[in-house]
Amino acid sequence: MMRQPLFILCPGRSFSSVVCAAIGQHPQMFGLPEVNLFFTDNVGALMALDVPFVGLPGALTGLRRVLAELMFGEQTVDTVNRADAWLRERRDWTGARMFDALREMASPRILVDKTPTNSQAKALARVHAAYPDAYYLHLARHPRSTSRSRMKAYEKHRRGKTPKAEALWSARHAELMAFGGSLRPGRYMYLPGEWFFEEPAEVMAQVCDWLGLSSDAASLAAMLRPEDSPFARPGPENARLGNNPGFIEDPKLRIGKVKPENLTDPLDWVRDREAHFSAETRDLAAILGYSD
Amino acid sequence: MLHQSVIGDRLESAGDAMDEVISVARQIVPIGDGFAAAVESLDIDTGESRFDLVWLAPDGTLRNRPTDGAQAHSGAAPSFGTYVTLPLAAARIEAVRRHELHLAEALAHMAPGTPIEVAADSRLLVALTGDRDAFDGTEQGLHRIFLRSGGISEVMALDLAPLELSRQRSMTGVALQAGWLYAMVADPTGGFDVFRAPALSPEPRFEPCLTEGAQRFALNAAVSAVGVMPEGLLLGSAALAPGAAQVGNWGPELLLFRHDGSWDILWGQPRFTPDGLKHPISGQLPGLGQPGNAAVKAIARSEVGGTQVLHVVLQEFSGNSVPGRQEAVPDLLDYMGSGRLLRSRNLADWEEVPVQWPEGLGAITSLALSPAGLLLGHERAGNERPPITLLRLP
Repeated sequence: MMRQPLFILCPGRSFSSVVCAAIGQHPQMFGLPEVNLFFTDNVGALMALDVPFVGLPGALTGLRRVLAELMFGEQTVDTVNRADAWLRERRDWTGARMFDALREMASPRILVDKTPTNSQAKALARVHAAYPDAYYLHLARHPRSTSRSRMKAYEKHRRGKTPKAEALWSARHAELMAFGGSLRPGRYMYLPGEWFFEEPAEVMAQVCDWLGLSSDAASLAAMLRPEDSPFARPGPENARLGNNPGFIEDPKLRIGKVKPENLTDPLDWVRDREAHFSAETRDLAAILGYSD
Repeated sequence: MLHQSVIGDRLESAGDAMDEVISVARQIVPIGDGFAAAVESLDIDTGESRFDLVWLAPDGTLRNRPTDGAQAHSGAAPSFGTYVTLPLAAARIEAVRRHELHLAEALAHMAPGTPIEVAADSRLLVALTGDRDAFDGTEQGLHRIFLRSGGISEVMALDLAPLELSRQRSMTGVALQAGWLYAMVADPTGGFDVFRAPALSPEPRFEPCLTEGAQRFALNAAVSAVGVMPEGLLLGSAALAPGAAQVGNWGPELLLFRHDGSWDILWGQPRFTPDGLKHPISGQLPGLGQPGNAAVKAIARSEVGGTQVLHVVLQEFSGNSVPGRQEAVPDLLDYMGSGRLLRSRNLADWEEVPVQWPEGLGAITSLALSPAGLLLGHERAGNERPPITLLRLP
């Protein structure tokens, strides 16, 4: 019987790529790039979204890379094309059915999925319906650095509406807390992402304990090398990304204290007026361990 | 001292039928074959309050007090402290609180080894042991803990700088056990911190021993109840008001902090911590199935037939839930909603005990097991009878 997968849930820009890759480097685990399998009702609908300028460009890239890696043992232009063809014959599959296929291909390794769209309410409902007994890791990052990172990414590409960075942070974490409260004991854990960078070996050892994995020295050492993930580097030219571009650019783990942030200074990404975090955001931040 | 916000709530809710006095049972302690209780009475018109010690039979009825100046021994105190002094000491404490008597004079009149304790949120608290006494006087923002080892000249004020007390960060309790003096500090944004100092050291210094609400942060904003076990302290938590969201992982926890510095969650949220992965020993989540904003309000440990029995009372928050933790001042008396009584004999298995809660309960403040049932200390409008109710157990 296949072991239950691990889903990392968080708003975007919350260190999920590096945390997923690190956990995925455990010999008993397999860390996925962004596969987006629960964003739509089925694979065909996801394909329809993977078009330039509208929809979710690149939505399939991560999935195509995973299939190439798991089915053919390497990611090349050819294997990605073959994976793509295989995928197109299964347009009617639900995301859960496709995810189960990935689980079988990766078995006995356990899948770790950090797809950011999984944290959106509709997608999360699909994930939970398919995997009520999965493990769920709620990952966070300080609201200031998360929001700043989101705005920086937006300013680089200028695609779509200006994101309401603070509101997104608050809404997503509030939903995830409520979701965590609905799970049975032991299936939900919360991790402030900054802890991972400060004490990665300690945190990974506890993750192993939680998931029932071996925490021998070799396994822990492997987890501290997220750059060894097959998705920590650019893919072939027909599937370049499929993961966070910043992580692909610099996947090495930088151990140490993360630059301190605070909740009181003006929001540095709001330039037309002086703005501060709302009381609601600061309350939620305090609950998540960000009181400064 | 009762908080002004509580007075305001009472004025608003009571209307014309309002009583002029609110009384609160701060502590109930077994004494011989009965109990003593410290009761605070607040005059709403004047804002003045006073303390009285009342003496109770096991069924909660009043009985005559022993002669002034006498001391009664209690073999198994339910909370910190092993002995209780009499009205003499209570009066001295009261005088200190009213600034009519210097602390040193009050201590001079307390026989060594005769402790008295009044609940922490009374802003006046004393915990003494046989050869060393502790005193925490909190008045108008002043926070102090004194220790003495006998003679009045040996009184020393502990350096509380490590506690970083402020308008938001206040002590909600102290405990003296196994040579350690513990101080519990509430923090609505950062989560509670527990400090301890070696009480018998010539220069006791407080060091943090459990921080950031035991890594549950603001959801463990305060240690709202403390129970003493042979192996350590039971710490009950509260998220503190105001809090906008009251779902998800809300609900109070019960922790066991051992004197060797290790700790465990008895019921609460599983989590990663600097002390390793923590799973609740009982397998139960915060609030034992009710993840709302509630507080552990009182803990009573007893031995019945050689078996340990723990009773824990939870009470729901009943104040306004609004955002703004940064402005929140810890006030456990905002938890005066529905109560729940829980019982365990082994720390791992917990059962909810159905009881008939009294009318007009107010905030629950103290608890003691008697042969007749549970003596529940709480708030009550009026002072015609002590705010202590016997809960008969099924």
